[in-house]
Amino acid sequence: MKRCWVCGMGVAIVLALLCFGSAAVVAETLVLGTWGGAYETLFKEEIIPLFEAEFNCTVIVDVGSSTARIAKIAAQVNDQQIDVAMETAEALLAGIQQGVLEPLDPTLIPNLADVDPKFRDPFTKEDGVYGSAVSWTAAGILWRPDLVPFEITSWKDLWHRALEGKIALQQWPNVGAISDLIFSAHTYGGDQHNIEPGFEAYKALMPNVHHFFEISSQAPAEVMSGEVWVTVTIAGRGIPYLDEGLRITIPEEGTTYSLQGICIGKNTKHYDLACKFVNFMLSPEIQQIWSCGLHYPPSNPLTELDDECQSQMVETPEVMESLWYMDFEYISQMKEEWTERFNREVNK
Amino acid sequence: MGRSKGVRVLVLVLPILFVTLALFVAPLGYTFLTTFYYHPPGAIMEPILTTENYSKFLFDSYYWRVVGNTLMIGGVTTLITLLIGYPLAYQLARRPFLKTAQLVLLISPLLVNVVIRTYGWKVLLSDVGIINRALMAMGLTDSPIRLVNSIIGVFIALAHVLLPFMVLSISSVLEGIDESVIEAAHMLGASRIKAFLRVVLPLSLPGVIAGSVFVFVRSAGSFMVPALMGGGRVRTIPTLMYQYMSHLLNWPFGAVLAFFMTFLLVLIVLAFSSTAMRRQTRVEADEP
Amino acid sequence: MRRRLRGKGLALYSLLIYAILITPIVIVVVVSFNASEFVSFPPKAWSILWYKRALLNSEFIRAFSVSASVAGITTAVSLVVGTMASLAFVRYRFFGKNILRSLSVARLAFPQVVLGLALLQYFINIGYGLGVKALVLGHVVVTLPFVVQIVSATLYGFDRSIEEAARTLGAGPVRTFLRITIPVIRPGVLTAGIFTFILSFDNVGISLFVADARSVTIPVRMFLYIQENYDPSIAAISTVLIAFAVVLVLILARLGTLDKVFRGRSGTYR
Repeated sequence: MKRCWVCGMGVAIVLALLCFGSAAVVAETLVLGTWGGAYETLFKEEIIPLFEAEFNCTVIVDVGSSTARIAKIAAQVNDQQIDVAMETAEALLAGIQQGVLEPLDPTLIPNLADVDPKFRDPFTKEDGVYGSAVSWTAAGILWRPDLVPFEITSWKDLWHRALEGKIALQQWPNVGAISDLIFSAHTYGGDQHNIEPGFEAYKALMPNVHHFFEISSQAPAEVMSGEVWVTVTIAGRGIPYLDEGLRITIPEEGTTYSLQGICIGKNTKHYDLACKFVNFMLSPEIQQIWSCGLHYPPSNPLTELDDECQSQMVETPEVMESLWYMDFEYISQMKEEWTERFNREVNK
Repeated sequence: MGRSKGVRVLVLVLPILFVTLALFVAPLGYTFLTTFYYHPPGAIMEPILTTENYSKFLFDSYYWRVVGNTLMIGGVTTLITLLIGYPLAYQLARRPFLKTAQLVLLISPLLVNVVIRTYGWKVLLSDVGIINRALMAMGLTDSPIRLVNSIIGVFIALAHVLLPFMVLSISSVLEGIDESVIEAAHMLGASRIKAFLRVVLPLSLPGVIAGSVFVFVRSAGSFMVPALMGGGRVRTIPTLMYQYMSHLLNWPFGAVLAFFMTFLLVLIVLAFSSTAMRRQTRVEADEP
Repeated sequence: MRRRLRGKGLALYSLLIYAILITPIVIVVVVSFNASEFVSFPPKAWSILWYKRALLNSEFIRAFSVSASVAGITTAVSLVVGTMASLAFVRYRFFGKNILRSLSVARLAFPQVVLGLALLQYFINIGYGLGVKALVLGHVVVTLPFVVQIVSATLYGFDRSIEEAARTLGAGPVRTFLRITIPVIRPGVLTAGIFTFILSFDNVGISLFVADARSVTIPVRMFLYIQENYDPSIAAISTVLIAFAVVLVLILARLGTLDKVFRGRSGTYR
């Protein structure tokens, strides 16, 4: 009986090894680390085939979470496996601080100069530019006009008494929670560098908060189910629900934004090709594919978006004008302190 | 112990020793070292030794409250699964109907991803969920009862997943209890209830304790369920640890929380099982 | 008469509990047939498009085969190592036994994400690398305590005198083991095997960190997917996995071994 098992397992092992033995390498291979879901699909179906054709190479997608990705980049710094990585602003900055990213070569990445400084400068240090945003998303208020008894036009409306127990906000220390704190600050006379009014206002908002959600993609569903009437999250998350009666409001006085960043792992063996990929991602043609595919506005203002594309995006040029400048580096340093204050003062 | 016995033991134990040392102790050795590393705000960690992470944890009453909350969740979940599970186990062991079907029903919920399982609970229990709508339609309550996004939701989701372990743990022991022992009790004049309390219950205690220990460790150590079902208001050490590791990238402090939690749980488990040992009716066989 | 009434009461109670247990699962299955793009219950329109999408998605198919092969190899390794260890724990007293057992408990209690991160750094530092081989080792570490506990439970009930008899009749230790011991502990080993398979298949914490580009497992894929997209395809995949798991459990029940899973008798956590 045991012998049969051993045989069986042996066969399984051999089969597994056959399936996952390394494929024959045809040309230079680039490893791209990215998030899953729509990102991966877009890369694999549209962007990568174009890149591979133009540069005669192979691109392998390594799907994972931001934490795992930055951990791998840091751990493999002597034998880097991840050449190009998509990262959130916080993780990118942490990577720069840890010294595990390569500076981008501006001669190989001419498109870098075209990127709106707001989306590139956070990653610029004295010795070079370590990353750039490929796109950005604005925070917005998602709400149901059939439940909310008035028109929501401003952040201040969130503190309205009629919304008692009807708002869902994101849990700390996710990016969304930081954004909530910052809009609270702006609404009551402060900003990210003067956060005290923000904390006071945020505490005052708590009676209106029904609960905190962990995963932002679920927020619109909670509004649609009627459990809450209002939520604050990435504005674009509400787009699939517009036909069902959801409204997305990005207040005119301004809003926060987050970035989808791209960077290069330190000691990559394919530095030139990696730079070319970054350049590719920042080129107007690919920015158009990326933006229209994900409904995220591009970081390169030279990108031309057709009308259909524009209509699918909530971040209009007016929104872009009104964005509050985000000092990402400062935020990433203060994040822990703010989280702990939240834990102790607000969410006892 | 004879030499051939010694060799035999060594051969048998060597693989697990290897796994434990090479794949658990060694990797965590480095992790333990990093608990003394400095965490620069905004970065991950630097190999500068400091006891900052420990002092931050030990001297802050907030973390002790969270520890208390975590242990409370473990304890209450254990109690819930015990109270609900014991009758179920009794039925399963002594007069089961469609035993196979029961076992399938007990075990298959275990195999669903936690995020998806909590979605199912939310549909059922949220303020606009089926239960609340039914209760309000029947006029039993005016406003929705907060079940999800509170600690109750956490208890329900945890009990849902851990109940099968408690049930199987108890029922297997109950099955081993000889009918003749109960018969003897009856013949000596004990009522049904007394026979149960004085004979069956004590004999089932090892199963109760083993199940309790498992449920306790698993519920206290859960981080996804409190995060998803707690609505941000349920704070446990594992959820904090996940925050520090994943979002704040403060690995040294996250490691401190991980080690401390494990240490505490192992201590509790060992305390419980040594109590269990004293109540054993069987003696473990020993090679001379 | 009273006994039958009591039995009925108990049966009704059990039925109630089971109904509660499976209701969330049923909801998930129902949602998977939702025609519209977003998750809502009850569905307004029905469709199997999410199943088509999920099953045609080559990434999920690949992830399924990775999960299955990793789970298969993990089960084999864990069973062998765990059974050997169980024999030692149950039958012998030796130096370091309690420490080894405590470490076994510690492996159950230690947060898997921290262990996953530790293994990631460890495997890279010793030059072992990531991927399927790392997944297997990582899964073995966390499933071994289960195997030891389950197989130990079976061993405790095992009457040694049969082995003694075999020995007296001249059979060597290996032969005794293969012919006498194995058939008796086989149910426990099989139970442990199926539980290990399921735990490895479902593992997220370790797999998140030690997989590489070619070896992403299904639960990790689902976890990553759900962060960005909240649509019924995740319910569809879950339903397929539930069906897969139910089949496994039915096989297990067929072998009549499930009641040996968590024996409460001496020494499950000693």
